[in-house]
Amino acid sequence: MVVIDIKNIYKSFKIYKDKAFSLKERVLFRNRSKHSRHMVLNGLDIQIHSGEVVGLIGENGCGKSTLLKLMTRIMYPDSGTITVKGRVSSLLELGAGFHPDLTGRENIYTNAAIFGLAKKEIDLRLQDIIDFSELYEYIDSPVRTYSSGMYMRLAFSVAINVNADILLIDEILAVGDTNFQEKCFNKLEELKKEGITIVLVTHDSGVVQRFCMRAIWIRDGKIAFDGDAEGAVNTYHKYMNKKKIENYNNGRDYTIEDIEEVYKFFLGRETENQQVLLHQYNHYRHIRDLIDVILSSHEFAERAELNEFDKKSETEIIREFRAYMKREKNEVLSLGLNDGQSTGEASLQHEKDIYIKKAYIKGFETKKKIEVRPFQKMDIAIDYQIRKNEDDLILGFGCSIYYPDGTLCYSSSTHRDGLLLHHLDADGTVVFSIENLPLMNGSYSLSVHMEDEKGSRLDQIDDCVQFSVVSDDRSVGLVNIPHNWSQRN
Amino acid sequence: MESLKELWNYRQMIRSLVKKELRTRYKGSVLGFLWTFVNPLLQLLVYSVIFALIMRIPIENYAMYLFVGLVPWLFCSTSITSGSVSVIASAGLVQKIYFPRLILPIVSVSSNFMNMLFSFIIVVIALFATGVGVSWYICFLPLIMVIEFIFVLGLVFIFSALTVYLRDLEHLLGIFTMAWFYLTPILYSIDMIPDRFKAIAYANPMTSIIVFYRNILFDKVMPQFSTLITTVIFSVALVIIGYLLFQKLQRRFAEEL
Repeated sequence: MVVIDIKNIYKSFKIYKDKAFSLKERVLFRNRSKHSRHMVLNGLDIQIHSGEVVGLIGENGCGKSTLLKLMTRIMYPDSGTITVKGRVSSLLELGAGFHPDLTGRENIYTNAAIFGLAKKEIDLRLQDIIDFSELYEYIDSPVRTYSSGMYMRLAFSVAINVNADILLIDEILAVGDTNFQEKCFNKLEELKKEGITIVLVTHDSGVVQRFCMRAIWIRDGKIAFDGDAEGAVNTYHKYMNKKKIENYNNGRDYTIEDIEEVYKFFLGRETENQQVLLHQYNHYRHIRDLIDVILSSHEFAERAELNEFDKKSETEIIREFRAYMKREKNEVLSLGLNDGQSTGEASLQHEKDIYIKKAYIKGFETKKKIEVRPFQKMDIAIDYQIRKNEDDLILGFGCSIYYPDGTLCYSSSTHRDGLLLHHLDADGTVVFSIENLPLMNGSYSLSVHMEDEKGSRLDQIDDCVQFSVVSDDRSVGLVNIPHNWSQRN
Repeated sequence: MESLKELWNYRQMIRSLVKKELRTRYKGSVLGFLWTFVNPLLQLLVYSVIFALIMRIPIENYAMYLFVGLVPWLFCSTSITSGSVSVIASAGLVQKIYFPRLILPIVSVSSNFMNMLFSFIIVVIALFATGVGVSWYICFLPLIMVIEFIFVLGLVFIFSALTVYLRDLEHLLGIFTMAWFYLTPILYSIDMIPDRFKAIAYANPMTSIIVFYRNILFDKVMPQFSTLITTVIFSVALVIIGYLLFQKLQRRFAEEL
């Protein structure tokens, strides 16, 4: 038997920018539209059968609580119908309507009356309610003297004991101590066995999996999944994880295409290496940071000499760049470059002629956990392979150390250091030697890359080695500055 | 009809909320519930002193004359001021729990009505004490009380629903009831109104209600049913209109609060 029948409901809210409550504001700003309509529920159809235990899941603001409120008739839909058969008890908020000055017993009567119980019915249930709440000796004390735990216990006891046919629960099981929660759950299990229909809204997927037989995932006011609890929770989680990653990327103020434009504008070339793009994209949250790096690079200095850049201030260059971006943006978008293509190309990188085989810290080749001491010698080795046979091939290598939060600690390359490596072996090793490692205690991550003679990256391995600097040094900061203390008289 | 039936099912809620209202109003004070009686008694005392000793009014036993009209008036005015905010004051409940929203104004008016009933105990005692006494016309008292209740309920239905959407109404009503007080023959007698304005005075439903109270309690004469009948028709119409308006507006209460 269908006990809750929801047919094609729509519900929207007015979003007030600044709600005009007063007459003055209503008259004065009559013509100013200060609200916009926000669709919360977008044509839902749900049928809940007698005895079902249904969980409603979804992100904040997806409309699940609104749906629950529509079921209780606290709110009404814009269109569509909701038919609910039987007595409904809603545990939307426990203890709503409790008066602090009245005793527990008096509040039971008032509160149960709010659920629509007649006095006789309350008389019958009074003992059950008191028993469940375990407030025996306190039941005739004013509620204001209760601890919050006692308050919740009383409120839950009333709500759960009104002999409802349908129980609507919103997120309330998150409150109270664990013992009480356990007790609530046991009671709910009991009610479930008795065949009471339960609909609950929760963010706790564990509760849904453990307690519900069916779950409905609501996304943007529509049903995204309606079926077994396990399946609903899994699909929902998959979606949420994906969204989390997207949100992380959304934190950036630019797209991967923009980096190409940055390269094109500042260095006069396109970066054919997608790996470089991805790397930049991962390491600079703001495009301004990337531009700063480029502006301070050797490569840019060289280029600046060739054209008029060196006569301009940095702000002028940035302004020009912005104007350039504005002109190019549409074109870039119409090229249809997207992340899918870029990653596709990136995966092909090992079929390249020149690549890094592996990178490691000497002396720790086989160790999983690398611990070094500050001011010790550290050699970072890069094994590479060149398949191309050109006589005058000029290649470079680079090394970057990152703090655990992704901040660049130090980066340099043969190109930046003004070195040119000629006549490399086809299969060899390059070592980046640090004499006195000036790092603080903590964990670091290492990335290495190969570049061509202009400094463009040919290959790179991010995060190839993690190592920790360990010592009993108690100083703090970003770099370990060698120092001495002395006293002067 | 369905909603009226539901209202009946929720009668226990009305009962217990009225009880809660009455019990908690004077909670924490030493006299507690006794204040319900002490309050009108002290008011009467103040009027007696002022109008017998300071401000002499050429109406015999003026304090009593005033008191008989004032008690029903206070029921009307306090019901309007407290009833108009009854929904807003229970915002927490309205947003969280379903119950027929109509209960809120009903509870507000009913608890004020209960207060009037208790005050009338003092009124009757005072009638004896001041030598005015009572006549059999007092039998009409329940009738006029019910009529006034219906009239006030109709008003409060309308005001409580509108105040949710227009918060100014709460303050506007304070001024409105004050003006209304002076336009109703409570401080003065209906005979003091010039003849050409009398018709207008009777257009005010409270005029016929107060005059009726005064006729049966103070003047001890057969009340005028002719003027009352329009008031009854008006009150019933008002309560129906108020009910319909409230039911229409209550659908969006939870969102507007």
